[in-house]
Amino acid sequence: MSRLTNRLPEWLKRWEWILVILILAVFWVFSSQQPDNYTLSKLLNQTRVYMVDVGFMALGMLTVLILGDIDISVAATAALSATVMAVSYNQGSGIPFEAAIALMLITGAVCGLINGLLVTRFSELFPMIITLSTQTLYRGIAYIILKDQSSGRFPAWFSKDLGYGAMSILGLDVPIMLVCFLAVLPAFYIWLHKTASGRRIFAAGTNLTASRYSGVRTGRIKLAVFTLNGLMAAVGGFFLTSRTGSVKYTIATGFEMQAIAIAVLGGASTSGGRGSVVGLLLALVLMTGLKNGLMLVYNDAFILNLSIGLLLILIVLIPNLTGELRRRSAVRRQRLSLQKA
Amino acid sequence: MPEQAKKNSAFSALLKHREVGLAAILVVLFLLVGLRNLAFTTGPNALFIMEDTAIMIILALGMLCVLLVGSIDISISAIMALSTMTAGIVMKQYLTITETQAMVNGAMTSMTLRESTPLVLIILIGMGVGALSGAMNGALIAYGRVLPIVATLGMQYILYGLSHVISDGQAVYRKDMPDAFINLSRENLLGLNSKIWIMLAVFLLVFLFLTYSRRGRYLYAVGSSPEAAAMSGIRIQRSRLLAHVIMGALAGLAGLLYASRDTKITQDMAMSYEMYVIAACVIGGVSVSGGRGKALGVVLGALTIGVINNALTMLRLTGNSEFWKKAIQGALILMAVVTNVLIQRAKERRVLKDRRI
Amino acid sequence: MKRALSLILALILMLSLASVVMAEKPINIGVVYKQTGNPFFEAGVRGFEEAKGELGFEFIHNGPADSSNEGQIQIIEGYIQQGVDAIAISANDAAGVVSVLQTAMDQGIKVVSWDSKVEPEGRNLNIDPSVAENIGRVQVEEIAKQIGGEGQIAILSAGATMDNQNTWIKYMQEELKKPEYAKIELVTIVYGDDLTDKSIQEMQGLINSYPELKGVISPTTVGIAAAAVAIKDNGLSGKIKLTGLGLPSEMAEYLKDGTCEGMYLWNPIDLGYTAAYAAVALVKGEITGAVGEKFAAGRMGEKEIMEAADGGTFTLVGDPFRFTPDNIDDWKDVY
Repeated sequence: MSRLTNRLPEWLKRWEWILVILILAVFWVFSSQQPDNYTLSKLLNQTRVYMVDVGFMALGMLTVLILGDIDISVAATAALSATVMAVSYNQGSGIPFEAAIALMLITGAVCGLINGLLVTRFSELFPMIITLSTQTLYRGIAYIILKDQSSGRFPAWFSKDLGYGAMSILGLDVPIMLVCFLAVLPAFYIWLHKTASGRRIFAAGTNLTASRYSGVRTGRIKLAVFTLNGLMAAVGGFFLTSRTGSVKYTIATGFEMQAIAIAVLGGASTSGGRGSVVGLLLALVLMTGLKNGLMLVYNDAFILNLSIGLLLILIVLIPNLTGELRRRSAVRRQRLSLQKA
Repeated sequence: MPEQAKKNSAFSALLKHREVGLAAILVVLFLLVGLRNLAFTTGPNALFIMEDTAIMIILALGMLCVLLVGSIDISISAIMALSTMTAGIVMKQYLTITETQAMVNGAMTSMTLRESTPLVLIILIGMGVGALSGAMNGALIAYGRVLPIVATLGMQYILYGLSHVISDGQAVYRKDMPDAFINLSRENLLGLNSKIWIMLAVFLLVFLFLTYSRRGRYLYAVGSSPEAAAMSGIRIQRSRLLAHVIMGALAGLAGLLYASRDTKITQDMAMSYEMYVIAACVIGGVSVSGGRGKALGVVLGALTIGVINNALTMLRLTGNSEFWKKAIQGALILMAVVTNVLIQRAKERRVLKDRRI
Repeated sequence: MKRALSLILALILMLSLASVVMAEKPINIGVVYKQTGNPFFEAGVRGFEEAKGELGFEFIHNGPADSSNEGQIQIIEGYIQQGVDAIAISANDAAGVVSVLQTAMDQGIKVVSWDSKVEPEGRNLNIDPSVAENIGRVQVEEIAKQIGGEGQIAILSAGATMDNQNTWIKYMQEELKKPEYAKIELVTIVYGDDLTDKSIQEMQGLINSYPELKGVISPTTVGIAAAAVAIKDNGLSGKIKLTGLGLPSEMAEYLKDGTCEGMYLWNPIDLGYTAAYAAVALVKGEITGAVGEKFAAGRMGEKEIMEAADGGTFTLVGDPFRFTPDNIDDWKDVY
């Protein structure tokens, strides 16, 4: 068996293939249990719920994780930027919706920039702690702005067409927001994996000190990545808002953990230097299939969480354990050959 | 210049203990709020803050051990929920209520006596389940080599799910609890609440463990340099496991006190409490990368959070200003953390300067 | 390869607990409540079960683990996917589920909101437990009676953002303007966010800040129980009077030991029962949810649909019931 795996070409041994196999398994299990409801066209509809908004946030989180940092405040950033958009559109004096969207993106970027500044200026404090506090702060500001109100009444193209509309591709109704997400992915992939600036993030995440000494301006990279993360959080909040149709300060509560879970499932490591856009997409597909299937079969929120937790741990644990076993057997073999010599 | 040196050393002695700086922040905060609401600075309220923060301190002491070895646990609220729910189900199962009629002051009054499994057993169950959950975390992190934040995030989902499964969605109420358990958080001894006494006992144990025991000092060694610790013969994985077991057991204990205070156990108990606890540790000067932190600092850090929370309650923010609470809380925690770093930097600069002389 | 195999095995193990019960033919109602594990909604589900026994429909029920709007949307989307005929929801955010419920209604699914309303654009009919005005006023009457018509009182509410809480409090404040309550002073409104520990802290804060405090109104089941804990712990049972909306099973103790002399709540079983009858009537086309229509709601009698203040339509279940130390024994095991 191990000889077989050794002979496989390198690209086949990649992490992504585990996800592909898991996805197939999940789809096989659930579609055999729920043949009427667990169909491709119905699942495409569910991508609105499980894939798009979390996906954007996870993309931002991915870059932060590759750097070896973490951002707990993304959900609060999304909430604050959505709040800014809703309030400036509804209560401002005739601010057009497009301007409100611009304001929203700026808010997200600024939130990210503040995180980045704090992280680079106070390097003794870990990003986790800083973003833990800014999380309360950002959501607190959203609370001050919106108070007990919901703010909604967006243009129809936003809350109807973007939120629930679909376009026909190859005879399938694909939600428009999914199309938007899938359109962004290749750009992100090329930037992160194929350009020099993307590689620099990987380099900085793998070894911060080494890349600093080799002339990479790590501080500036961190600032840029955190700002980008804030921006992506705002984009996630944008799509989430198109779905809810209104904004309350509690919007997107708990999404930061979902975003982290997706990025980690996709092969990112919280210690930095690892992660891929393809893996992230596969993780999103897996989560969509699994969550929706569990929702159909069990219809119980806690069972759903329990399974997600198990999956998260197993998928990280098993490669580690098999890697450990392989290492041990390699050591044993080495010892044996040494003894023979 | 002897005089200068003397002055320097007095100042640096003060700064050497960052706990002093923290205590100063705490006192200033306390007095500032007192300016707006006198009731805040009264003895009973100070005691109430202590009482209210005792549970957070117990958790923060456990978190200290975990952070020392360079790990983290964001599943503690779920551990609290699961261990307390298990204990709650046991006590509900064996609850017997006896009503006795007795003459008190010439009037017939009925007394209800609620008994169940002995309190010691309940505490053992709670702490046991907690320790077991902690051991799971520890095993995943130490032997499974799963990154702490990922392992405990997954465990958080799992443990909350389990507490839902074992309770079948049913909460445990005061009517299901024996008197002994209800009084666990309500007894008074020498004018101090039992939660404070338990907290002091835990503090003493953790303090002694970390300062004087070999295994305790290993935690620092493992956290500051795992390679060096391994070279010098410390079983680093075992230390990591131990830290998580301690955290789990303390979370179980804290969960029981929490449930006894609320007289209610729900499966989503204490959700997102871990964030406060981690913040308390950081304010208390614990390094998240491991190897640095003191029990006393953690207590002060938790008290700072306790004072902030209580202050926001006592400031009697009404009307629109109610909405400012959350933002103020975030800003204050951020300020406390940053101030602490600035103090630390000043201290380090001074140490460097001293060395140069 | 071994890795993949073991993963598949683990997954299958995980899913082997599956038990699928899906009926096709009868009317299928998807019930959504605010939060899983809340006894109030468990009682509500019992109401649906009772109606199911009489009408013979199917229903599935679920609520998010964290009382979030997004969690409810997930559940609703799942129900739409399964092709339910009607959705009966107690909304965490009245506006936040409107869009998704509109897409449900576009597909012919009928929507009934119960306990906590959905905005009119997202529902066919709202089942109101009781008129908000009555709920507000009756609690002021109660506390006035208990404290003897004068002194300081405070309100311990759930969240500053909750529509129903704010409406009740608005009517309480209006009621307090009446001349007979001139000697009662509402000193403050505090918010415990429907979390037991935070509510206890807020109540303790009230006790510490207002030594003259005579009474507390807590129009939330979590809040009133937490307030009872704090009052009792401070040895103030009977000195600080307490009323509000409370669950009998949770409050029985405090009613008996004098911490709370009287409190109110509507019957969640009746609420669920009526919502079930309304949903079935809507699906069968007996009603459309328009003003003036009537439908038979089993043991609750005939219900008339009226125009609601928010522009939609609603029907009433009944007045809140007053629980006292004398009648609590009849109810403490019911819900």
